[in-house]
Amino acid sequence: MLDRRTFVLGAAVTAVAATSVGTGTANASTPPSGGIGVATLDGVPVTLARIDGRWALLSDNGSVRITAGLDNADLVDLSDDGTRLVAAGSLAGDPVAALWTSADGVTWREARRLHGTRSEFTAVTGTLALGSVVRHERAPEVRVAARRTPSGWTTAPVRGLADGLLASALATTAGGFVCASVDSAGTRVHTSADGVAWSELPRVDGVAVRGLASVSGVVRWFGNEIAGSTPLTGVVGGASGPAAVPADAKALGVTGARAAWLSAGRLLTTAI
Amino acid sequence: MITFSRIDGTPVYYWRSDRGNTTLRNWQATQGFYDSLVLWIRDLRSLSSAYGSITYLVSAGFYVNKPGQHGAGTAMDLDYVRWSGGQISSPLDRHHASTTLATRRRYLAVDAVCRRRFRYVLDGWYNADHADHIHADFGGLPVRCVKSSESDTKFVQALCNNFMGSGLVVDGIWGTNTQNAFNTAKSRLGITGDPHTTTSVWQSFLSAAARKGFANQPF
Repeated sequence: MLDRRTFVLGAAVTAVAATSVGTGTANASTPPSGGIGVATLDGVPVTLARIDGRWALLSDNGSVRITAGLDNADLVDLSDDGTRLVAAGSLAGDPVAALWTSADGVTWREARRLHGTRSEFTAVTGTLALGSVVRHERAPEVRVAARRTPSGWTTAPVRGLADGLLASALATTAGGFVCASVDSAGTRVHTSADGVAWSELPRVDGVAVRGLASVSGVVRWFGNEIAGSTPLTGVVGGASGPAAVPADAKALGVTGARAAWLSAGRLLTTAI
Repeated sequence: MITFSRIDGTPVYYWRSDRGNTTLRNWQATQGFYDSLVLWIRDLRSLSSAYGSITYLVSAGFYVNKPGQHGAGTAMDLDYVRWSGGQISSPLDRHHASTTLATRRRYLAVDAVCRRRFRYVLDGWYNADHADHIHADFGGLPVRCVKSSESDTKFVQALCNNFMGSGLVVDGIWGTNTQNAFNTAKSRLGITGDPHTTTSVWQSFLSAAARKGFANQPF
């Protein structure tokens, strides 16, 4: 259903539409850029992307809603806990790792920020966020994590993940968690029963993995080739091949039984 | 985002999965970043002209679907440079740590040319994650030498050690010994002005250092 905050983009996502939103006017003449993560809201896959400098909620039915409460956010990933969305990233400027939550995907509030400066969260599920303290040049230096508890998000210890790794995907599995970290040659994959102690699985060479799912006892991944950005999918320690999406599609993540991609500014999902 | 296989006519290969492979790749970057890559390779050609033309480059990625500058299409990971005269510089083979001084100086020359156009350049001295490539991105522009930057400081320390035998600890801390060595380097390279505040002065310093590096000459 459309409301005052909703407009539907045309087939080419270049349709010009404008609507009054909050204190300003949103204009969809610019395609969404840089979708971050994917979550499920009211049974529909959604992502967050920038439109004209503002964060907007995109769903795979083509609707776009401008958000409130994320003006100072550099977001990197999005997930949900079944009832609320959670976005991870940092406060803009000299980065400070932070998490935001929302019940409707439109109105957001900051749920947690780390003390000190130069840190960021880069991957999140509904209950666990991974990130790093970063150097002046934004290179990851020390691993940080936060767990959702009944009293809110609290920092947690991590063992078995190298400090220099940048988490690019995180997923909940039947046995705990699985995490991807992209390095200069591909992706390292780790698994953990408790989110604290991690052990390494076979790496995925030549691919930047952005989505993970545990399916029938194997870990399936979704990502893009490092040399060429071709959308790919495969099984950790097993076979891989092209994903059934347009060649320009960029992997966003996995939500429920769907893998999400951003193609020509639109959110696409495929069965995992 | 644009797609390219060559930078200003020079092919860019990918060797991480198949060393020596010369298949052209469809790299992606923003137009603005590609434009800076063109300026960068023209600098590199000019400053290393004694080696002949640049036959090819090898990269570990430009746009890469991951958080940060790579994900924004504004970063390069440089693995290898090959000139028509047969010379190479191979960050991929950890040339920053080569036992051959001329090889380390050539690596530093390539490193210096990267710093002329990109502010955040992370090399083999910066940390272990960059031991096998030189990373350059759009963060922190404009280019200048920042004493509080671990990357800039380690580069200056490595430069002074390899070209002047300064014996500095490459720790990223800009102390008195680093300052004194840097002053000497500036003087010997004929650089006047403040490279910490003025982009053109820092770029002149880097060009002068790169010329010495490609020529394997101390300063």
